[in-house]
Amino acid sequence: MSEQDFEHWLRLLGRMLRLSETQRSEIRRELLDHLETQLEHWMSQGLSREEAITRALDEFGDAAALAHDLSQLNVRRKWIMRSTMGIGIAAVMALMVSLLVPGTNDQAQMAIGNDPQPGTRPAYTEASTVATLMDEAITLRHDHRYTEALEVLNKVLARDADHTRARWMADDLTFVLSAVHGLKNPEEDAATAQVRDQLNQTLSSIQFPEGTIFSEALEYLRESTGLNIVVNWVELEISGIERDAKVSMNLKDTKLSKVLDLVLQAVGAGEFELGYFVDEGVVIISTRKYLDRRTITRVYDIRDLLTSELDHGRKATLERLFRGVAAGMPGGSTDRIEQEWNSLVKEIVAMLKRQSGEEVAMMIQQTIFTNIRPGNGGSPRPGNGGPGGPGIGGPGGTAFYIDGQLVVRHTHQVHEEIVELLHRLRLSR
Amino acid sequence: MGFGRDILRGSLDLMVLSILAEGPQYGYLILQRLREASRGQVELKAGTLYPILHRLEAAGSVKSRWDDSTGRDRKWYQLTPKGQRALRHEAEAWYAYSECIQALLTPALRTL
Repeated sequence: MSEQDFEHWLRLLGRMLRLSETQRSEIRRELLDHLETQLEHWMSQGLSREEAITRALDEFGDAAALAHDLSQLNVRRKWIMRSTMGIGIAAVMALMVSLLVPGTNDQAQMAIGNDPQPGTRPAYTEASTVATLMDEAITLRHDHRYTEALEVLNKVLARDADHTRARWMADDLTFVLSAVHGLKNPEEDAATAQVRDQLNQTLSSIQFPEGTIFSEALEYLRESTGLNIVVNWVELEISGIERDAKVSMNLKDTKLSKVLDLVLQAVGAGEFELGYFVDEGVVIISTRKYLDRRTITRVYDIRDLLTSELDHGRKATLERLFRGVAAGMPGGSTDRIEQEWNSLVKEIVAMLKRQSGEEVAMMIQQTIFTNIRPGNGGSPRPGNGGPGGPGIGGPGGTAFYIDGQLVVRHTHQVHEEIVELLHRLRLSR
Repeated sequence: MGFGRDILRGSLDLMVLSILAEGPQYGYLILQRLREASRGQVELKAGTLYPILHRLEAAGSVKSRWDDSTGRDRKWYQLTPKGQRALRHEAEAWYAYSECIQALLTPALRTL
């Protein structure tokens, strides 16, 4: 057992506590203080930290049982145990089963001795509906359709307000959604947010037969999705991309953003790659060259990634990480290698979990932003792009980290990269 | 644990209240004090103590506050006037109970 296990236990406990957020965080704080005091004591007696943590976890006992006890204060139903020392084995088993197997919560409740309210449907039918809904929610979540998943979970909770797993997932999703939304530029308006949501939607079928031209394809997308799409034709024509460039494709079940990417890829190529950005509710298509020159400044509030009751070391690591990011950011960007990116993020997340802080900070500096290749402007030049302050600017790009805020002035592409990284870091916690 | 679970079950609240009567304490200290006072016979687990403390707080016998005057931010518990009354009441009940058992045991043991 290791530090990681205690964190996991604490998280597990936190999730199972049916208490208010304030109460939950107080309990975590208190237990953590107890643990640390305990650890100090044992370590002073010669135990290694690992051994001490194992003992501590034994001392604390089964998270489910403890959560049950601590949550008693708020339980509405009849199965309140009077004695805090002895929880019937059956009750613990039932609780564990309900937590591990979706949909059995009702049976578990019955086992603990909860009488269904008069007038409700028999427990078996109810349980199978709930089970079906839970499966749906899990699938939706897997497909990153978080808002829909949350809707389904609310249906589950309407049928069974104490469905533990539904509660966990709903809490989790709410957090994810707010984290994702929180990453949007505070100045970003509702219209832009809506566009982002639209771009995330899946289209069941897209057919551009042989002979379809660029402007027709765009018109089709406009009409079928309601998106405002504007093309910077002047820039395009300078790059030799005409309205009647050929586009043909036949796709099923593809995200709109991907469709748009593919259309733009088909039309532009190589030096004259096309891209788009979203501004005030409008999708603006232009050349990479133009987009790379256009920079915006955004402030990313990353205090939530830095605050950690659990580990001051991790907070320091993340702070160093972001300082490193700010310092190491070259200018401009063109393409990104999807696979490398994914494995990189996975590694970072894994490292953060192992809390090997130095490695993470260095790794970020060395690799993550060197994956973003210098744009058409050439290799990064120090300090060229903007206001002074710590940070290497390339053509048009600077970043600095200050007090939990990452201030970045850069192209849209880099901003998208940052948004995605922060999103994944938040999901990993 | 030295004493049997069943014996302890009814008196843990009483023990915790008694310890708090000595002065405000935090969880870890309470466990230590229990161990000392019982000469090692009562070794509560953290997972047992904290629910008790929280329940006593919900019942109004105890109140808590976060304090970092010891250098570390800790949650301290202390008896409330209601808790003091509860302690007195429980103690009386316990003594009465104990006398009753003794009255039964003494002659019973003589016959063995």
